Amino acid sequence: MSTIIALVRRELWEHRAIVFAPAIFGALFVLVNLLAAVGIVKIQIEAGDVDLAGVVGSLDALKAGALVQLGLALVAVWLNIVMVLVTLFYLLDCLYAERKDRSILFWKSLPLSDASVVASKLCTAALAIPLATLVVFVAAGLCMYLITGTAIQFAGSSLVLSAGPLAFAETVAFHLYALAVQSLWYLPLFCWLLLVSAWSRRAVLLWALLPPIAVIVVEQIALGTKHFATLLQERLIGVYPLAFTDDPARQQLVWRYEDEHADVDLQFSEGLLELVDPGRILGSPGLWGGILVAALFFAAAVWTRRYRDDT
Amino acid sequence: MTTLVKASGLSKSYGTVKALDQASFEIHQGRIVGLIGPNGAGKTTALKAVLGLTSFEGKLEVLGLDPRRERHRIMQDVCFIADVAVLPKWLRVRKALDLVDRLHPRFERSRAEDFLSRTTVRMDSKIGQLSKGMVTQLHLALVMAIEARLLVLDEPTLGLDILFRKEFYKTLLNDYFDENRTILVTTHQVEEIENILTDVIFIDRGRLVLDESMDSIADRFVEVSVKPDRAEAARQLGPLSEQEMFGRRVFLFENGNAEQLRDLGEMRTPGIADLFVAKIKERSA
Repeated sequence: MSTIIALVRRELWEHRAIVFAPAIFGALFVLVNLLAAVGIVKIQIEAGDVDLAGVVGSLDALKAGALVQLGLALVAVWLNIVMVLVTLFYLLDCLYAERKDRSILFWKSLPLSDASVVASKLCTAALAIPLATLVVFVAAGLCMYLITGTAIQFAGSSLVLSAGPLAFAETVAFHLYALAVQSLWYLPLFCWLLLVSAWSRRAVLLWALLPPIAVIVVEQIALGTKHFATLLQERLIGVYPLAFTDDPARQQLVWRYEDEHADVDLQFSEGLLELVDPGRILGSPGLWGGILVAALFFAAAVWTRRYRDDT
Repeated sequence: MTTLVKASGLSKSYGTVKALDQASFEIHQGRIVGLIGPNGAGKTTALKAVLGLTSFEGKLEVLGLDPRRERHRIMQDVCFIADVAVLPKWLRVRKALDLVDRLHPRFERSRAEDFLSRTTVRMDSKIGQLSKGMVTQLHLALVMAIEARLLVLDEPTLGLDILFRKEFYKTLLNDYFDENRTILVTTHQVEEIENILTDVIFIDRGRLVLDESMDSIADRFVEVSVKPDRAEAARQLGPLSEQEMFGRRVFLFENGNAEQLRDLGEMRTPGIADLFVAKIKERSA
């Protein structure tokens, strides 16, 4: 175990983007938020024809909490997109670059089994990267909550500041759950990328994408069906419907914001955590089938790293 | 005498090219063995087989274990420097020490630090910023701080200038080597290591041409410097090779009769490089 931890730390030393990419995005969000807050304060001071006090005055505790969660959800979604891209490129690089620069010979001079090395790369993708992203999310979210809360306080309502801590804690717990199920669900994709990274001599991204595309095309031509494409789509985006409740009673609508000009329709349920429903995903064959496929790809990646001899 | 490596009938082909062809050899504890051969002779393939980095046919035991199945156990006791500049470029020197410290149970950090303090390698440099010579010094520092039984070096000084090369082998011999350690080294710059070797293995096109200790080489081979008028007499005795040097003919004999040879001219033990050329030519003939 201490070996794996040391190896994961080494991955973070090598792949600085794991921390930097989400951190830069987080900082960007905070910056935009800060500018917006300055805007609110400026309107308040110049108080032209905008009835800011009236808008703020229409807030109640629930809406205030929902506002915090709306802002944080936006950050979470964007950080997640960044994270998935970082993970993709990390995994494609992690077993390929060491062969390309021959540093694999150094790693192989240490008493490490190939299984523990490949496991450390998978742990980096499935645990360390999500955790780093969560830390960035918490830090950026905290800054944004304080900035927005203070600005709205200035505009005349303390509700955002007071509703914030609970709404914030809920969002973090919610995000942690989402990251955990997403990691589990993506395991077969992660292990596929590890295998490609261990095997490919060049153009790793191409080798990662071509085989699934080829399967889809061949299936379409030979059988006229789209099973594999559906399967892949399920794997890419199917985790969320499974991970969260499908019970309409629990998805109760508590806050609705409608704007006739912008056509915005946002819904929030009372207590985000009401949506969390691990039962269905843990019972789904998709999750366990995926883990099985992941185990096969993982074993293949270990075998390839062990026996591929191209240095 | 403990045998660390035992190979018999070791073979490996890349397509139709035989990199190793029924090679059999043993490496014993406390020896410094030079594996010497021209480019493409199979040196690196032999080392890779020993280190479990490549597949092969035949029997091979390293520390009593099969490198194909138990390589990570073998690597507890075996160290290797594959070539210069395989240390990861993004790593800082200090973190390289941290890492090996965490990952290798036999690593003694203070030894590596002590060695590095005598070089110009700075702890907070990135490996990518170090010169080739400094990277080799760092690698040597890491390896020397590991209590290993067998050290494998594959062209460790390739691309280094003469000062670094001399220093490298001097350090290895003075600060590292003792009767419990064993070194297996390949190089084609034979002259540089012949005075530190205890054994040599010549390899050519996958086959072993010679496998002798340096002591027995002195007994078995003799170089005689003969005046031109005695050259014909020397040729009658079936020399391995003949070359001209400073107006004299130099003949190399294997298992020659010392009495007869002494008559011909001045005798001495041949250099490994000359012996190597002669053995390879003999095989080609």
